[in-house]
Amino acid sequence: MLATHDDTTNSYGNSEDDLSTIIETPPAPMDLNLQDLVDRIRAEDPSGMEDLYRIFSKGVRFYLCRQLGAQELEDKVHDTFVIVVQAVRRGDLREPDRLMGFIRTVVRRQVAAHIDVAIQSRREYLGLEGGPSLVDSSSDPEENFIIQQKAELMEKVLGGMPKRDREILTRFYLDEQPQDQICREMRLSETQFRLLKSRAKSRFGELGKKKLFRKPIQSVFVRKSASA
Amino acid sequence: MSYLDHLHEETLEAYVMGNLPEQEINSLEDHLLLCEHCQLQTRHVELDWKAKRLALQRVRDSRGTPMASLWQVWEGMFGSPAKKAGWVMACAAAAIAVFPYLPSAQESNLAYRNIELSAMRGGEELPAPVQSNERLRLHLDLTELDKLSVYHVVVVDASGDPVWQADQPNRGEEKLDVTISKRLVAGSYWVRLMDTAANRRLLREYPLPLR
Repeated sequence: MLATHDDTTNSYGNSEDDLSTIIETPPAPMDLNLQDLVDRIRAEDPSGMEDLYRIFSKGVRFYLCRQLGAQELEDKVHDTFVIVVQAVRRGDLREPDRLMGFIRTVVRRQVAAHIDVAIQSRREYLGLEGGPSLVDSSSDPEENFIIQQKAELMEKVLGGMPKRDREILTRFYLDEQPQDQICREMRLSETQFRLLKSRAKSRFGELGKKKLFRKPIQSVFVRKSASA
Repeated sequence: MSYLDHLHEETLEAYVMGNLPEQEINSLEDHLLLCEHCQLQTRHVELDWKAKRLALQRVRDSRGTPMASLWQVWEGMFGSPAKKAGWVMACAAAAIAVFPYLPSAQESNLAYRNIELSAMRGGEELPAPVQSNERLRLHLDLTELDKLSVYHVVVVDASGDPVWQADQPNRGEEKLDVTISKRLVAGSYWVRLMDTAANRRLLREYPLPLR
């Protein structure tokens, strides 16, 4: 039996399953009746705001958390919806079909504004230790632990790979060279490049599963302690 | 790509790496606004990507040392353990004989990228981005600072976490020379200059963006 994580809600607002137990892909989202939704918001119908929040809150929370971390996340999500609702009622949204793009724009502006404030604060508070964090997501201890665990497995696989394959992956993931440059300089076709990445990913996954089967209890204990 | 379609893992990887064409990002983000499954997939892809970078950096650090490179050549050239043992002893003896005459790698400028850093003071431009994964030798401007005999230098990443630190003696000049022994991946860093007292007072901070 695979070690499974407890079902918890993470900072993205998603209920989380163990990686290896995601088997079925749920159906894609259905097309929304944005005209109706916008009309109800404009009419100050409470169901309009409720549906707006129900449909988009997880996505907004996901985006903001990914860009800015979990700090003050709920406040920022709330601010986003206030801005959107006020704009819709003011008539700023001329075409209801553009509602999603509008929400996306508001979220991006929230992110940009936060980064501007953080940079300015960093300059002003030069004498203080630390200062406001620009991105908090990387300090999530659970996430850091997962990354460390995965990196340990990957390091083993990488150590056993041919030097050329390792160089290709290093250029792409670490040096962030474009794929076409790598293919040109290493004399690879696009297909060979994608095959190499798939092979590496498959080997990472195989070793990960072997480790998981060998030490399932450790994973459960770690999860328990993380949620304590 | 319609915002209704689930996202392929390759597309998500390009997205988290910042390689997705602009025209595809809007549609992708519209989908992520709605689809919890793809939000979760994005998170997994991002964790995998960060783990790959960390693993590759570690492999590079471990294999990039002179001893590791020498060992790889060794493995390729000499087959039997007996021969290797013989050559190890011979090379060790030669190294001991030659070592006192070798110039210090620390003093050589050839292997390092020299960077002048001065503090931001409202209105000054950040220094132009420097290539990541180069060996760096920083020259920190000490103008208007109290001159100490030793400074403590810390390099922190965008989250404020230290990635490198060391005590650095001052030769009494207007700039402090600091050699960063660790290769840094692309990202935004700050170089913090501190005194060496118990409470480690921050004296100055310099931006160091690496691309």
